[in-house]
Amino acid sequence: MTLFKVLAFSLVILLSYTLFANILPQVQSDPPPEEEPIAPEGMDVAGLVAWGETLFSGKGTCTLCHNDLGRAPDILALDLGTVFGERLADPRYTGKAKGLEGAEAVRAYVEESMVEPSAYVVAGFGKKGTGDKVSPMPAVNAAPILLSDTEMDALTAFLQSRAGVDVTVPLPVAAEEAIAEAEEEEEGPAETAQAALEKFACSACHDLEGSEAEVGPKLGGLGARIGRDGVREAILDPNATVAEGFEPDMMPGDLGAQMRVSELELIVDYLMALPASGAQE
Amino acid sequence: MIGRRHSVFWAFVLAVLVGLVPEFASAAEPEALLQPTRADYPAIAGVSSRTVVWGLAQMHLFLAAFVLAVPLFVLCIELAGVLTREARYDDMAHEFMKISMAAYSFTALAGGGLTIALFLFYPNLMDFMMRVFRGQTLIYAALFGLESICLYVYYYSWDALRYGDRKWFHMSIGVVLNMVGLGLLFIANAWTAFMMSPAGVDPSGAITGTVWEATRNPLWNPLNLHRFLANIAYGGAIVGAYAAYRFLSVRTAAERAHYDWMGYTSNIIAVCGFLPLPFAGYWLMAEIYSYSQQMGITAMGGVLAWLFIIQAVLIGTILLAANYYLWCGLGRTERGAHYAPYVKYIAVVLVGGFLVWVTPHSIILTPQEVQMLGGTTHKFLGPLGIMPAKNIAVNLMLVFTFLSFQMFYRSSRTPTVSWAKAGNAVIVALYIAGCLNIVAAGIYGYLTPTVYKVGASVPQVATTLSIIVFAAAIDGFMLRGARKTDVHWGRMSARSQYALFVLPVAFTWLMALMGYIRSSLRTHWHVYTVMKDASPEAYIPTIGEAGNTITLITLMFMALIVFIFWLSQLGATKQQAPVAGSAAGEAAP
Amino acid sequence: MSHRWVVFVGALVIWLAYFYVIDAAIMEGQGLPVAWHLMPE
Repeated sequence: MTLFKVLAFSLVILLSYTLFANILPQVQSDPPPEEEPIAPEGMDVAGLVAWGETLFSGKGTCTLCHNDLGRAPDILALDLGTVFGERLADPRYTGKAKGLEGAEAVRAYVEESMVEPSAYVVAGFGKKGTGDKVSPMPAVNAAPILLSDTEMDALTAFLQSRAGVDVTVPLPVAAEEAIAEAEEEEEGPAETAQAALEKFACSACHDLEGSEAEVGPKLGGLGARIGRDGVREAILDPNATVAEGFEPDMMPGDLGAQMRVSELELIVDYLMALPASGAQE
Repeated sequence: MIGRRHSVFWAFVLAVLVGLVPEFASAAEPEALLQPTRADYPAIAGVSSRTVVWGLAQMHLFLAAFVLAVPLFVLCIELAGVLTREARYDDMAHEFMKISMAAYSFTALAGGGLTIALFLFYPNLMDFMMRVFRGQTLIYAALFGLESICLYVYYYSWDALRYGDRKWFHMSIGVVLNMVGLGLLFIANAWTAFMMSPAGVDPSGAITGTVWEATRNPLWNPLNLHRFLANIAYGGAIVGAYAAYRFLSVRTAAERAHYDWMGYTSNIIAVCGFLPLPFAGYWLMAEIYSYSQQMGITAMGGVLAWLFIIQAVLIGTILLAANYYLWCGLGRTERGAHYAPYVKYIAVVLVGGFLVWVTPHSIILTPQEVQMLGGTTHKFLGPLGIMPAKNIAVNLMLVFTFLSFQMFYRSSRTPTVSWAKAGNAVIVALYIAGCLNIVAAGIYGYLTPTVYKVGASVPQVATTLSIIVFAAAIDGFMLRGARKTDVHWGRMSARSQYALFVLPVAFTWLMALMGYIRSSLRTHWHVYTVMKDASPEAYIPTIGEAGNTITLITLMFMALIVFIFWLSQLGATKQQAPVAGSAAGEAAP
Repeated sequence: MSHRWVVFVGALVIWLAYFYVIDAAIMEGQGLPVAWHLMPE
């Protein structure tokens, strides 16, 4: 009889452990997703910095150590502008950022810290017993963190922005875009006016080919008003004459450098033939 | 005629050779590893691969821990029997082996099932592991054969090799048996540790080192020590449950006395194995941090942090149960009553320590709760959640558990040396100074930066060890020729046997929890940083899910153990031959 | 003061000294320099 009581008591103990385990905060840790969740094409500086910020507490797992518990410098709480200066001024620092200034110094220092953490260890944060020569930080481009070059750029951009300097890392370009650009260059000049307009994205700002864009003035009847030379000048030197109601410095000023003469002539021909606005509506 | 010294010597030589054979160099494979994709994982009948492997692995670990531990302390008890010339030690050792034998075939069964499941559900991982450890797997298989031989010979020759030189020869077989068992343990640990801290392979998975290098990875030895000690504690706990089971079922006073004494011995073995465990665990954790700070922080500061609170609950249960059993045991002697009033102070320390240990540092709160609390941690209880407080609690709990044991040990022995009073004063001073030091080192942790805070835990550990070693040593001298009073074995309440059952139940759950932590430390890797886990179950399950699985496995194991106990008892049952004229004879008890 | 109390106090002092020595040695041995009062240097 006592045996049954003992077994029942053991069961009660077991159930209490199970209950305890179930009432604690439940956290499921998933493996990181396979693809990069943020598409890098068309990303601007602000987007890059924001991406860096999510990586800092996400895939980069930086906040695991870089927090207020004292294992690593609490990056988010520090005034990075001053701190980076102090790091580089430290006589112990002999790394890649030595001798650089401003944004480039920050970039070099951050990139070095990410892939070669033991190049310079902040005093007091080295592995116990190594005299601050060996860092306990893993290289972020190696396993298990495995950040890509683009992701590391995003983190660098984030830290540059927190340090109050310019972001000097290149913006990410999607692989397909890079390939497409390479292909286009091999293709040669645009063969038709429409192709040329597309190549230089004229309809992004001007209402052409049904784009209804209103960033720049309507171009109907332009040729009749200012003539062929005027149209050419409007393309090559947009700030020479700015249309009424529009601001200067809006249109790219380097189209002359980008366009081939054949492409320019195609566009000028097209615009000369463009009927006046009234007919377009 | 083989002399006793010769047989032990040759047993030792053989054991060393067996130990040295496994590691030989062989050609490295410089190709990178092909990472498995989700499609490479077989999906069989909608079964959760991970749960099946988990269940089989855990059963195998429970049984293997038991089967490896028992011969270790059986050999010690056998030796005690030879040195004290008391038959009861030898009889108890023999009975412990009997239980172990019944468990052995189930261990092999679980191991076989585990192997099949691993190859079935995780073929790519196993392919890689086989390529890394190559010949060692054959050594492992051969060792199993040797273990079986040694085990059967050791057990079945017990009565044949009972006295004199033959006894020493028998013990030599026990030495070989234990060496082989340790070899099996160390090899299996190498594979487990390799998955956490790989060595002998480069980051792309190409095999660049020898088998020995892969074996001798950073976490191998900490795991070896931890599992070695834990096995002993666990083995003691399980045979204690057996003793309790029998104590509650037998009828005669002599048998009750026998099983009461067995329960006491088992509890001592469990406590002796248990006391150094936190230190081994600390070393393991320190090595994990040293190998990869990320892995260390995942364990203690990240996703798995709450698990250590559950661990605290389990260890608290174990210590309270072990101590409760010791206190009940004070009733076996007249002198024991003398110590009984002190028990409540020990209980206060244990329960208080347990509560401190259980208190978490940060709790998950809603924004309203944060506002009400005035922060994310409680003003007074929050500081109890961090390491210095926990270490004070743990170390004091261990010191006072040892005190319980020391009190019980003394309850049947009155010192006869002239300096007994002075000796007692020295011991009391030791305990007081030690406890003050533990508390001081803990408070120190609050006043110093992190590295010093963590570093201060080692002096605490050293203090606890010092108290245990010196107190035991002084007692050893002081109780020489002591007047032994009668210990009334068998004079124990049935309630006390609950403690002997709770011990292995809590232990089993704790082992399974630790296994869950160990596996989860690898996060989404099969072999950390080398081979990703691309299966559908690569996530770390929540504590609730894990707790449910662990409870199910523990229940299965408990059922199996009760069956094994029943089997070993069945083996001793003899039906009496029918007397002429009556119906078939009744079974003898 | 009875003999027992003398022994007790003496032993207490000796044990405290022993613990002080091992504390300092262990901290230094871990690469954590401490001053005479055991606080970080």
